[in-house]
This record gives sequence, structure tokens and C-alpha cells, in this order.
Amino acid sequence: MRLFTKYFLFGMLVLGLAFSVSGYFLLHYFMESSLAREAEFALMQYQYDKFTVQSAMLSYSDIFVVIDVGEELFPEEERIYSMWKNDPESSPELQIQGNLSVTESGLAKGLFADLAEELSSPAAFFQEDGTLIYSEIQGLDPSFLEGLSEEAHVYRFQDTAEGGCVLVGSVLNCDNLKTAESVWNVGEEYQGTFKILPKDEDGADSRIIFVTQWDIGKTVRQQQILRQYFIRCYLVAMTAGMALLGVLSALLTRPLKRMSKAAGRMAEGYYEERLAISGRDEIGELAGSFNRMAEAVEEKIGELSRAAREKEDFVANFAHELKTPLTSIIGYADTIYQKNLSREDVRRASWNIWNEGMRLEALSFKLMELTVLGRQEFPLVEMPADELLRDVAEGLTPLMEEKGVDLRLEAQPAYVKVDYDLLKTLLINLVDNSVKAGARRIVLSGQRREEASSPAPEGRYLIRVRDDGCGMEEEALSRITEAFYMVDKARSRKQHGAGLGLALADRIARVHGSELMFESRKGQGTEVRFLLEMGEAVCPENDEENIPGTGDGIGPGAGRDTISEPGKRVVPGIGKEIAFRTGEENMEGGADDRDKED
Amino acid sequence: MTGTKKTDQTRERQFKDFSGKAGAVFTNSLGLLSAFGIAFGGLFLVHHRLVREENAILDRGGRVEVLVQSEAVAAQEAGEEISVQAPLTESQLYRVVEKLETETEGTVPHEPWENQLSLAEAAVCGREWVESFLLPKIGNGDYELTECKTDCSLWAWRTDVEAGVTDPEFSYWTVCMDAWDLRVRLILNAVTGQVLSAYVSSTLLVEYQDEDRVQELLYAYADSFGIEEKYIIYMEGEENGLWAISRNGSEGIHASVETASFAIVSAENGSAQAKPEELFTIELRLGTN
Repeated sequence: MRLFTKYFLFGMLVLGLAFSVSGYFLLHYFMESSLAREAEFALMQYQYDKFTVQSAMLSYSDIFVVIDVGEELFPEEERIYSMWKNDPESSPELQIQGNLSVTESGLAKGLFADLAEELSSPAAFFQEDGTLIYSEIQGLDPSFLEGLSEEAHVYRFQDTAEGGCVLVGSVLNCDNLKTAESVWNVGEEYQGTFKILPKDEDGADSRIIFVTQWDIGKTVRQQQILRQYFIRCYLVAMTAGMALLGVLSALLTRPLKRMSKAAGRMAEGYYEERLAISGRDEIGELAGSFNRMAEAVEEKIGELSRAAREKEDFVANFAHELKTPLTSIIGYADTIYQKNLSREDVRRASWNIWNEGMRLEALSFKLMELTVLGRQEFPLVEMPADELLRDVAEGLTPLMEEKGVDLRLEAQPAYVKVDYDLLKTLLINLVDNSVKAGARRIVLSGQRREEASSPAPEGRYLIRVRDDGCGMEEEALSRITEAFYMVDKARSRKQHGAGLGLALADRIARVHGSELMFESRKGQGTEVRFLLEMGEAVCPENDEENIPGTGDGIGPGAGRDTISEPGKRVVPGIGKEIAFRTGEENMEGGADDRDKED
Repeated sequence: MTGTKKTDQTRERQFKDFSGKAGAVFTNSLGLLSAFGIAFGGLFLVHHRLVREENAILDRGGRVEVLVQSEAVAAQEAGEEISVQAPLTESQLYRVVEKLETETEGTVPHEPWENQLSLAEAAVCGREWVESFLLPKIGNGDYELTECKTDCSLWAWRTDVEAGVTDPEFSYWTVCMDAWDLRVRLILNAVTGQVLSAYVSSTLLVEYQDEDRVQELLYAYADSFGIEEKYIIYMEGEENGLWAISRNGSEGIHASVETASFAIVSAENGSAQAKPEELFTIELRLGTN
């Protein structure tokens, strides 16, 4: 089932249930309360009418009728009653002939009919045995009369043509009426008793059943009108609800459809696909997440492509870098093998083989370190930055002297968190690069933040390597940390470079939570910066004087701070010093030194 | 062979796609139809249920128990003396009269509660008050209340009944007596039968409108509550009679009487000659200061 249909179905279910249940309870409550109120009114009215009837009975107990009957036939009972009614004090003189034909209920009927007229509700009077005396109530169900008593008012709702009514009834004691049957004289010939209600056979009190009818047609009709009104409201609301739900469902599912389409296109390889859905709701968030995911996928794909390309480049470069020395080695070896060379030529050829072999060895070391750096975690320890820089400077002194480079050290005391060997390798690589770039003057500086204008940020120690070398173009800066990338390949190879030094330096900087920042101008020199996290230990302030080489030159002609260890040179590596020989004269001892290293 | 197999697979896939789409169309159609069914089925069910409930209600009933004091009717008929409770104290009277004056939520009729007068007793009290107190005081002591239609009803305050308070003192009987030339409407305390208010209109009283007699009536009325000695009399002449008030300082209850007379002119037997008749009214009542 489509999501649109699900939304629509669920919405209609909720809407339908909400309207039905609330409408039902509302109308049900209204009906119950209205009818309960009507029952209450009916009972109140009944009580009032009952008082009226009881009061009337008290009045009628005063009836005292004296009729003198002459020769005329005894008048009909209604006539006697009307005579009394019109002039209660009169004693009508009538001549009656023949026997009395007054039925006992006749007078009662007239009396109760008059009584009923005084009541505000239609009423009915029955003898206790259920015999009707007088009734104004149409269609009265006789079953209602069963079980009535003097101690309770009983009510019952009844359906009528007008809508409905409440019948209320109870039993009334009419003993006072019975006493009204007292005396009436029928001339001189007859005497009789005029009874309103018959006396029970056992002489018990006479009682009547008094019932009133309270019309609730208006309330019932009102209920019907309410129900019709509810139906109309329901239909209007549901129709509007359907339209609204349709629109809402379409609105809700439209972004999802667009997302589905976009996901499909991404699956087809269109990673640049994005959703133009705004908003702060869940859909907007989902669209945002989708876009972020698409960006991440695109970026990752780009990275993977770049990595694959770099790997291809790496392999190609590596093969190329291997090929050159190997060609040279094979060539010289072949020459030695096939030709009868003089001792001098053999020596030169061997030197060339050794030299290319050294180059291959350096290449393999750097490759290994690059691999190790990517896989290993290095604990950083706090140590004085100035001492570290001084060690580096001292280690480089022979090389600087040899190359005629003026290396200056400007280090402020501070504790930094570093891996000593790695950082030393990094700095040596940077200085080495400067040397290879033809620098005549290199400044190695370390700064901590002392004032607001200081370039070092708070809590960080800034290390800079500045040179006045050949510099490089802007576009070369973005690639110089790539493995095997060489700005000037001819120059690099001539200097036994493999294009791995800065890649290694960059990896080491990252191990320290930093990165190399380059600034260079063609023909003017290069500056490399990186930041180190400072340690919590505090350096003594008088270290300025104690730092060897601070502010002084290190290199040819430098003063007391020039430190050199002849015969040794630090080459890029992790905590390793290997023998470094330049020139043919050191070749023989080189093997020994390497053995030492091993 | 391979070509045939591929064709079969394509056909199968097409058939599956088609049956999947057809199934989705069917399911969606079913969903939409269910939505309509829920919407209109709910309406039908609600309507049907409400009609059924209405029919059920119109076929049911209830029963309210009432306290019946039928023995009092027989007592009244036999002319026996009724056992009236001791008169209300002044503070009780104050509370009863104050409620009578200030209550605005209306009244409901009810059967007499325990210690309250029955209908017959109330009728007897009213009749006795008229016959033995009112009529002699206005010079009609020999007038007999025969052929008098009496109408009595007992009322309680709606707020009390709804709150379930059944203090018998606060209920009152209204007793209306309608004779040929005398009409009396009394308000009786439901417990003691004391007349808290009386409105009398009669054609009998024309000769007894003088100030002294009205004052005497007021004294006697106040005396019937045992409070006359503390009262001072203030009387003020009105255009149609006398209005008097008897009060007790700044607090408590007071009794007042207001009288008026009207000349009623009616045509007799269709003749043009009018026969004037004077209607005299007296209104006695208790009030709070």
C-alpha cells in the first residue's frame, strides 16, 4: 500500500473515530441529561399536581348535598354535580320518580374531570383495582399502573405521536372523599347514599391511582434535530477532512517521492544530486541529512577516486624511482662484468652502484616510515622545545658547514608535547629541503604566546623554518606533501631526493595534531610553520641566556654555539641517526656505519 | 534453447511486474474504500446507536421514594387537634424570614419531611389562623369559611434540595383559601405552622379600615411571635389605606401590615348601570431589618 493511501486511511480512521466518538458521547450525554431533567420536571410537576388533588379532596370532603326528589325522575348524576358546582350552597329541589339510577362512579367522574381541569398537565384517575375513573391521557399503557404504591412516585417514559412523554403516578389515599358520601335525601320516599368512590369490601380506606403526563415531545424533537444537525456537520467535516487529508498526504509524500527519485539517481551514479527541500520539520531534517549524506558520499567517492589516483601515481612514481637507480646499478654492474676496467674505473663504477644503492635504501626507509606512521599511535611527552630545537640545530651543523649555509636558531623556552624522534625527523626534513632549495640562510625559530600581537595562539608553540632558497610557485604548494612529488625533479634527483621528505614531515605533523603551513615566493624563499601543543610544565625565565645558539649563527663561521659531530648526519628517520657520507672518500667507512645502525 | 529460456524469463518478469502493480492498485483501492467506509460507517453506527438508545430510554422508568403522612388527613377530617411544634425562636425566625426574602434560586415542591406539617395539618393551621385570628381582628368573627376551596403546597428551596440539605424549618406551606367573598394566601412555616406572610383580599372588610383596627391587627400579629413588647410602631398614611411597620431597633425581624382598598365597578347582567364594589386588601408579613 502506498504511503499516500496509508496516510489517508489513517487520517480518515482518526478523523472518523474522533468525530463519531465525540459526537456520540456529546449527543448521548445531552439526551441522557435532557431526559433526566425532563423526568425531574415531571416529578416536580406531579408533586405540585398531587398537592392540588389532595387539597381538592379536602375541599370536596365538605360536599354536603341535600336533594329533595319529587315526582320527577331522578336526575342524572352529572346534573346533580353541576348543580352543586354552580351553587354549592343551594339545595336543589327536584322531583324524582322511580328508583335511583345513580351509578357510583358517575359523580366521581364529574368531580375528577373538574379536578383534572385545574391541573396543568393531562391527568388520569383510576380506582385502585385499575378501573378507570377519568383520563385525559391518550394511549396510557395499563402496565404502568401495576406496582404503584403510596410510598413512591413512579415514572416512565412513553413514546407518543408528539414525540414522547413522562408518565408519573402513585397511589393517593382518598378516605376523606369517602366521607363525603354522607347524606342526601330523596324527598319523602327515598333516601340513599351518594358515593364518590366505593368503599372497599373490608371497609379499608379508598385509594385512587393518580397519573399525570408530562410532555417531552419538544425535547425528543430537539434530540432528533440535533442528530440531523450532527449528521450534516459530520458529512461536512468528513468531506472537508477528506480533501484536507488528501492534500496533506500529497504534501507529506511529495518530498519523500523526490528523495526516492534522488536516491535512485544517486544509485545510478549521479552523486551531485541534491534535494531542494527546506524547512525545520522532520522532512526538512531528513532532506538535510540526505543532502549531507550525498555530500559525504560524493566526497568519499572523490576521496576514493583521488586515493586510487594517488595510489596509481604512487606506484608509477615508485616504479620510476626504482627504475632509475636500478638501471644505473645494472648498467655499472654489467660494465664491470663485461669489460676489463682499470682499478680507477671499477672504483668509480662501484661508487656509482653504492650511491644508487644508498638512494634505494633511503627510499625504502622513508617508505617504511610512511607506512608505520599511518598505522601506529605515538605517545607524546612534554619536553623543552628550545632544547629540542638546539639538538636539531647541533645535529645539522656539519651539513650546514659543508653546504656553507647559515643556520640560525631563535627559540623561546617552553614545554611542548612531542615525540622527540619524530619531531626531530620532521625538522631535519624541513631544513634538508631548504638546503636542497639552495638556501644560504635558514632560520629555525620557536615562539610561544607572550603578548597579544604574538603569531602563536594561546596554548600553542609555533615553530617556523624560513629560508632564502629558490621558493616555488603557488600551484606547487598544494602538492608538495604528496609522496614522490618533486617541484624540480632534475634538481631533486641530483640531490638524491625521492619526493618523500615533506610527505613524511606532513604525516609527522599530523601525528602531533598539527599540519604544515607553507608560504613561498618564487625566487625569494619559503617559510614552513606548524603549531605544537604546549605542556603544563613551566620553563625558567632565564633560559634565554642558556639556550645554545639562540640568536647566533650555526654554520660556517658561527661562534661558540656551533655544534658539530663530524662524520655523522641526521637523515630523515624515526629517532635514528645513520651514517652519512658524501663523496667517494667516505664510501668505504659507510658500510661500517650502516652496520652500526643496524 | 537459450533464447527460449530468456523469453520465458522475460515473460515471467513482466507477469510479476504486472501482478505486482495490479496488487498495489487493488491494495490502494481497498485502502481508500476502507477510509470511506470508516468515515461513513462511523456516522451510520453513531446514528443507529443513538436512535436505539432513545427508544430504550423512552421505554424505561424510575421510582422516587416519598414520605407519605396520610394519617394526618384522617386527623384533620376527624377534627382532631394537630400536634404543632414549639414556635420558632427569634433567631430561627430571622434565618427563615431572611431566606424567604433573599433566596432567588426558586423553590421545588416536596412531600413533607419528618417534623413537618402534613397537607391536612397545614390546611387546618391556615383555616384556624383565618377563623380565629384574622377574621375576629377585622370584625368578621362570625364569618364561616364554608364552601371554601383550599389549595396547599409545600415548598423547599432549590439550592437546599440540590445540596441535599433537608432542614425542615426552611420549607414553607402555601395555603390558598378561596371562598365566595374572601381570598387568603398564607405562607406557613412547615414545622410550626406560623404564618410568615398573609395576603387577604375581601369584600367583607369595607367597614374596618380605620387606623386603630389595623394597628391592633399588627400588634396581635407581632404578639403571635412573642415579640410585641420590644417593638415600636411607626405608621405612615398611604393614599389607599394604611401602612404600618413594627421594628426592633436595627437588627432582628419586624412585622408589617399594608392595607389598601379598591373600588371595582362591573356591569351587571349586561345593563349599563354600574354597581361599585369595594375590595379591601391586607398584607401582613414578617421581614428582616
